[in-house]
Amino acid sequence: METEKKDTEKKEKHIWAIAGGKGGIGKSFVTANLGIALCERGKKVVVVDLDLGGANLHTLLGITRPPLSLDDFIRKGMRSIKGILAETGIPNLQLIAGVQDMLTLSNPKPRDKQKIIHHIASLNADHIILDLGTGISPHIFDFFLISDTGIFLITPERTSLENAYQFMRGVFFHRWMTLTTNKKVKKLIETAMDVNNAAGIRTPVDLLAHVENLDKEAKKIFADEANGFKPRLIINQARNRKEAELGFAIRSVCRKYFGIDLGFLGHILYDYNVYSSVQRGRAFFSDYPSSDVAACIRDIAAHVSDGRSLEWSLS
Amino acid sequence: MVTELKSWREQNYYELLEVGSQASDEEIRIAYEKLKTIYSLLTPGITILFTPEEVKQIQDKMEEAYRVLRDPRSQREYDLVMQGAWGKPIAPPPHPLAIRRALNTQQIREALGADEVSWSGESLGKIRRFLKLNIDELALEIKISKHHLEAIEAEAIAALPAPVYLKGFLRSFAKALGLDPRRVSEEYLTRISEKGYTRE
Ligand SMILES: Nc1ncnc2c1ncn2[C@@H]1O[C@H](COP(=O)(O)OP(=O)(O)O)[C@@H](O)[C@H]1O
Ligand SMILES: [Mg+2]
Repeated sequence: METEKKDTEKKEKHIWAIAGGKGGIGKSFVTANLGIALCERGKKVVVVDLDLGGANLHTLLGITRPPLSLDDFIRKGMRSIKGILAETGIPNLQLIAGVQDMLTLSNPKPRDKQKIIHHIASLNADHIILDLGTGISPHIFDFFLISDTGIFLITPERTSLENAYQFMRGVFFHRWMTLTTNKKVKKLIETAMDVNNAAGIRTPVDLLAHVENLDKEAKKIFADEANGFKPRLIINQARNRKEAELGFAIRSVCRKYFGIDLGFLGHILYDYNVYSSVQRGRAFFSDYPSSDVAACIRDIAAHVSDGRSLEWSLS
Repeated sequence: MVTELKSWREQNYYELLEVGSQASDEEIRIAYEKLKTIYSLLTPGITILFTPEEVKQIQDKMEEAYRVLRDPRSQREYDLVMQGAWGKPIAPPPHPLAIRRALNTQQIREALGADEVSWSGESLGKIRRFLKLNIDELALEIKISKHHLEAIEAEAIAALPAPVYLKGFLRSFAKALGLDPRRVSEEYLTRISEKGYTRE
């Protein structure tokens, strides 16, 4: 039996968004080190710190805060995002540093957000990886939705799973909201966003059934959009094989509950050295290139660059 | 393998077992074994999205799906019902030559009612009927005319196409029945050349 399947077409530039909802699960750590692992494979990579509440991607890359960041790009009205591209000391890996001043941008104005989105899409690289930051809010959904592929990072902790599922549910509703002008449908989506809504709408599938009664055209548009939604999954901080294999269970649960195909890219082991490298302000890959964790991340990078995901067994 | 947004309540047996509609026996078995361990209350976080009753219902549905799909005959029946219900195949095969799941020796013996297996028009016909495939349907599926398929089964030498075509037809036919295409075409050709069909 084949252990892998091909499910994305290769294409020139690919934007990935690392999401998870929960804080402290390793989104920035994975963004930085997956970026490095892709560079090892000869790719040109840009990592973007979109954690508007607590930008620290530079630290995970082992460098000090670059002089220019998204902050300057917005506030000084810079014409091109290339002006704030920072070198990382790792060949072919560049960083767009995040916002320092929380007050101005943690909740960006629509115009500023549009500008950021537009310019990220114009960046030139093989892979662009967005560190979405912590939270489950409309502007994070917007950033998630500019990616070609969203990657959910989940740790084996129940709370991480809860947040990831909340995020998935939220992304569906948020996206559908932008696809209709029908006031009644919008109102229905708003109702559905409340998990304990009186209409008994639990899942996006439930919502679709309700939308069908109101507006057949909208239902069709929503369903088409959802069919194209094929995010990926990485398990971080797995302490044993069993925890790593949780990825297959999450994939299955998402198929059965949301009706979506969540490709499982692989797992990353828990290692105290991740913590110690962060404490020293060093990039993990630079200090522990031959560790098991680095090997896990290289496997994931291989899947990312050839568009494959795991079937039923870990690599 | 979910192809459109629907929950486990609406998913068909293939979707429930998370395999494609052309999956092999082995693929179906592996998926089922893995899923059986997942849909248990012992799986961390399983109750975030499902109630314990739903977990039980999913287990039951998967058992039912596996019972039907593990047996070629009930699988075939299920496929036909699904086609009828939806007016189209559950998932059109990626290639015009649909590859049916390979039959094992036991199943072949059972279908032929014999211990010795040798490929002839008659034995091919037996396998086809064992799989409840009608000739019109099969002709459409593998894009070989009904007339030729009938000639093959009847070993009607005069009605058979030229050797270059016949070889390909036999292979497609064998493949569609889940048989070894090379062996079928070799044995069949040897047999009919003894009956006067010229192979050159
Ligand atoms: N695989 C891992 N093994 C051990 N510790 C990890 C691992 N991944 C992340 N961590 C720990 O989690 C902390 C938070 O990671 P970070 O990437 O900053 O999270 P996020 O960006 O999701 O908030 C890290 O500083 C590190 O100590
Ligand atoms: Mg972070």
